[in-house]
Amino acid sequence: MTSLKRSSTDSTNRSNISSKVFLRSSKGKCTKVVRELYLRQDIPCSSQLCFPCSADAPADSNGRVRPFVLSATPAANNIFTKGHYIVPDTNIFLYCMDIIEHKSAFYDVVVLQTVLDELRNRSLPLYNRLRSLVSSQEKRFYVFHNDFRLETFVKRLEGETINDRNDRAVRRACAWYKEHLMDAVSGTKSNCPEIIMVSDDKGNLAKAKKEGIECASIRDYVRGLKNADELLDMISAAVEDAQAKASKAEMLYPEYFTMSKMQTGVKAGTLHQGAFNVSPYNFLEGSVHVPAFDKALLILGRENINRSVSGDVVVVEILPKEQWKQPSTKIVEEESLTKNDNPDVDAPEAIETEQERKALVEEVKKTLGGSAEGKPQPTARVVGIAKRNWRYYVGHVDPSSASASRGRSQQTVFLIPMDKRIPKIRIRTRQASELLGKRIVVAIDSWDRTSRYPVGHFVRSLGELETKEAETEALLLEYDVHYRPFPKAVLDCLPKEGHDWKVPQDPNHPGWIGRKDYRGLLVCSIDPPGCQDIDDALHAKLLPNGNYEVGVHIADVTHFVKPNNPMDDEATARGTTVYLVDKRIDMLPMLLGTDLCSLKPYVERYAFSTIWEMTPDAEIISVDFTKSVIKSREAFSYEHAQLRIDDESQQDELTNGMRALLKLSKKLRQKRMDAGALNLASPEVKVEAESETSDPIDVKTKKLLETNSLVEEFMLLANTSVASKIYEAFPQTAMLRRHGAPPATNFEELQTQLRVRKGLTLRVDSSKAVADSLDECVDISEPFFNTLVRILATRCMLSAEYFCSGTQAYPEFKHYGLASEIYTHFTSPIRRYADVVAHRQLAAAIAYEQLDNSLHSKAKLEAICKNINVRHRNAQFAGRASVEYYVGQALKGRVTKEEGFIMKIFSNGFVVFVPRFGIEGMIRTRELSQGGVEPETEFDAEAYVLTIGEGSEKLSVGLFDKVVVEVTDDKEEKTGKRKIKLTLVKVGGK
Amino acid sequence: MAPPTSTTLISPAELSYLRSSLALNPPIRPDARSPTQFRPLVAEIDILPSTNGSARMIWGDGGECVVGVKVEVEPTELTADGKRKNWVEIGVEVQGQRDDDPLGVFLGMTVTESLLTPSSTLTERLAITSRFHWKMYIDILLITPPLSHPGTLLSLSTNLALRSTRLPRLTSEADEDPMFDDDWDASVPLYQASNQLPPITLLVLSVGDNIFFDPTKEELAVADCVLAVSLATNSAKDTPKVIGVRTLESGSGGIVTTAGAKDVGSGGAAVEATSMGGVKRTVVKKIIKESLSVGKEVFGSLQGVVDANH
Repeated sequence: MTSLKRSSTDSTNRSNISSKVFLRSSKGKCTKVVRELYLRQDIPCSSQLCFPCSADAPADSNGRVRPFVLSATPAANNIFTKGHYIVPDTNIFLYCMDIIEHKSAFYDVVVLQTVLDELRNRSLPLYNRLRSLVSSQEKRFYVFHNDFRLETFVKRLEGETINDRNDRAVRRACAWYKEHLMDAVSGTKSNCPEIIMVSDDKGNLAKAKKEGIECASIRDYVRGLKNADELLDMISAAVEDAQAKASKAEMLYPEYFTMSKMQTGVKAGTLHQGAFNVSPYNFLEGSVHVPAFDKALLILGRENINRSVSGDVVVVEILPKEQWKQPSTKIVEEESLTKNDNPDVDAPEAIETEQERKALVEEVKKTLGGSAEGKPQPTARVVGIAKRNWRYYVGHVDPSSASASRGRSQQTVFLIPMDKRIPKIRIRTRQASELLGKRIVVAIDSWDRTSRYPVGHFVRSLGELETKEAETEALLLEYDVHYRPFPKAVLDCLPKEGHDWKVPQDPNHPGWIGRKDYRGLLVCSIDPPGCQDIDDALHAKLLPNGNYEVGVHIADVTHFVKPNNPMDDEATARGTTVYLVDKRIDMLPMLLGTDLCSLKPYVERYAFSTIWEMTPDAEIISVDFTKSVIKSREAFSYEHAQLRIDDESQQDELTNGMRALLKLSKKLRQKRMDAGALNLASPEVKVEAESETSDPIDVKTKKLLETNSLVEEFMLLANTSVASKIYEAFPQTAMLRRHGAPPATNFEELQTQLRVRKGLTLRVDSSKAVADSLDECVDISEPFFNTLVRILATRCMLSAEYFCSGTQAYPEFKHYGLASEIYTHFTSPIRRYADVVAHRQLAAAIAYEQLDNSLHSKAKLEAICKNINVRHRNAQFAGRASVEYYVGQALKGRVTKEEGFIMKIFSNGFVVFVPRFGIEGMIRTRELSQGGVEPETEFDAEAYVLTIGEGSEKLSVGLFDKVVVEVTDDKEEKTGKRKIKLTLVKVGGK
Repeated sequence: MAPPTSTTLISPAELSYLRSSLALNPPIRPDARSPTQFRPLVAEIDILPSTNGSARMIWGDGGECVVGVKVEVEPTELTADGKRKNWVEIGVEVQGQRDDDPLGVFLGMTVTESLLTPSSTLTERLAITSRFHWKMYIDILLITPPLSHPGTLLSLSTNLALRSTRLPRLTSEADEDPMFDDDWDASVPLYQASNQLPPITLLVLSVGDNIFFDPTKEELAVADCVLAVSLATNSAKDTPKVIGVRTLESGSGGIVTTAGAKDVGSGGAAVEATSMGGVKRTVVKKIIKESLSVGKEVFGSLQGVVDANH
């Protein structure tokens, strides 16, 4: 038998073709993949020095050649004194991205394709950051496709690990660059730039030296830069960990399961996966909500939490039933328990300190002693992390962990994050003394089994604690708000005319196609005072048949924001405008938001109008949607509008129109209430600011006028009408908003509390029942009690969310709070992206324009919904945090006595709500006695009564009790935030 | 059923002549081969980059065959008796034939039969964990329509393809959902060198007391009996053992000749002797005995092909 020995590379041994074979595993499948590479010789080096490359660089389909990025005269530094291009390897991008992004250094960087691909596989966020660095072109980063260029392609050798192969590819590319540039500059006067490979791999560096490639470790390289101290701090701790690891042996935390073991377990139902949350009152208690259980699984203690950080997606294992517990009734704060921890890790550590263990043991005792009331909840332990959701954390350096005497030498300090649910972070720094008292941003790098705390590195400093700029930026970062100015690509999408843009006068202009001329209608807008982004305007007109024509006109944002251009992409990412006390972070550029789209008075504007015909009893006869042109007659503030309506002498048509609107809105509201809409309460306060400096001077609770509800009713009506229309047109892909009915278990605790403390019942079987029984929850002697109950009830509910109609069944569309069958957001397209989508869908539904393909895709819409739900929530949190900060600033240095109510009670403290400022604060029992000694307490968990002290000083407080507290401001040591401090003055009224 | 022979058009006189010369001692084959000699073969392996294993073989009469082996992870559902059902799927496609042509199905069956005999150990090799296994697809393409019975060709090509087959290396632990090494070079050969080899099937025919390996279609037409002998071995150096014997319909063999004898009226002693049909026990014994030594030789040649390619 003859063997035909045709070498298997026969077809592939041509020099410009190379093939690569690997196995791809996903979803339990394993596929062999063969990739053929066609190696080219025309991939340019992109150095402005290189004439040969610029001569034969390939052009794209439009015939354009990419401009060459790498500077002809790159920078040098103190150690590498010749001008050079930098070629970092993957680890540098993985661990030192913060330095790479820093403005002071790292210009003219060659990003190799090998490195970029590896980075993408290791960390998508970092990859995206690098991509945006490259595309910004500011720092002259060039992606060199070395794996596609013949001279720099490296084939994996037999037995070579992929890492070694990639390292070799990096070295090969460096060598080629050097050679290539030498050739390019020979015969010219230019200096040939040096090529410096930056790596952290000792082996790689040694090999590079041997091969004659200029190279340096990241530390050595950075040492040569001007601001070396700052930059050195920004190197991830992970780089050094590898070396340090060997020295320590003691493992504090249990090892994680392997990925495959976790996946198997989750699939088989023996393990559960969910997002990890930490209780705001007890840092040793976490919870994970998993689909298999109604109630969240409790995770108690450091060992069980096993290095999860709030926000991570974790895999947990249920503990045996004997270890099930009740959620704690005690406030446990990290600060008080761990303040003596040493940031340096030389001393052996235990996971749980003696104190922590004591706190936990007390917990257990209580559970065992307690009656059967409130069954113990299942507990679990974390066995692995499916996905880390680490982000940047803002905080400040724990002053007690830093010693100023050590000067500029490197020391390890603790960073205390602003978010109490995040554990302390160990960072190494050379600038400890400078960082004290500053707000700083850090990133967590790793959390080893050997370390009690996660290890991170310094990213940047935001400025002094308690300066407005630093605090504002801090909270924007904490809530992941995109606050950077709009990039050029976005601004390029704005109309060329800028502020001079006008509605075209020529009725044959394309802008007028499909638009109705409503300039003759008496339209006006009613908004908060000083509102610049006017989304909506209204009008009402008595028809000859005795009915009313009512119109809601919404800014036609989608006329300016076309789908899938950079402006649309940016708005999708931002999702919403964020309102802070003194600042607004826009979703759309100013030009649109406050001018071209804004329905300003006295000028013509494009609008999207919803017109109803209504009987005087507010029964809707017909509804019509159309794009239009309107001219608002006046922009009122709520108060102004109220005054005008109330002033009988004003009998002009505009005012009468508003009166008609007010009358109709009251009827609409009544109908809504009858249907079971909830009247919920959340504490809202307003910070009065000095007009010049915008420094806060006073806090007031917001006053609600009839005109507020006038606007609200018609907006709700418009939203509901639009929701039905777009759902009818796009049953699978309509952008809607729902508010799920909360499970009855959510109300259990509040129900018990009301029954025990006040003898009241709260019925929760329907939103109507809730609304009615909330009305009955009154304490005649205490008018505020009802509001308090409403606030608490609101906290029991789910949050409303955007969704794509195809993902839910029709009955699930229901908006619980509004008691509406279907609902969407349509009326604020300037500040919410959901409204933009609804506008596009409505425009397509009325055949005004074609619907963009992306809005036909369920998957894309779901992604949009997911993002804007998160953004929306973050915007709310950020807004609240901003108010909280400013309330603190407004009260700075003042001492007032205010009445408050106890809204939550623990065995060692209670939470007091002060309606005057809309704030809540914690009072711990240890603060009630002299000398800060924990007093004797007795906590009756079933009666919600806490008795403190003994004998004559005995003091007893119960839930919902009215107390008088002294409100002072206090700088919280833990978070560095200026916060309200409450001190108990007496129990009972003033 | 032996499809290729059914289309053979040979006159009774030719049949008679052919039969007599094969029955001689020593026999004379039409192409002057010795009874155990194979027609020249050309073979190569690893020709399809995206398969797990592949081989190509060209037979002396122009028959050409390409075999590709692909595997896929599948959860194991053991039948009540613990048998591994449907772990291997074999498809034969004959160029120019409809895909529901019985020929393909028939040929597939013959290959399957020898591969899946209990002693072939193929399915054992496909187990990954207690809950997962590799589902194997063996796709056989006959490029030129077979001129003689393609059984041996298919069997040998499949053998080579299986020997070049590699399975991804498992990185997860025993009872977890399987995860694999992404490096193709780290994959594990399905058949290690020192291990048992996949079985082969040889066609042997008898005419009188003589037996012949690798028969041509004309020889098949006059055979007393055609046996497909399946052989397995631990290594190419060892003598294989017979793991199965199957009779194939021996074409028109003696019966036509007998009928022809009546028509033409020139019956000879040799022809008369076979008119009874059947085959002697000594002949079967001889077939088995010869198969072992020929089989060893064939395994040796296949080993040569494999060695040459690695």
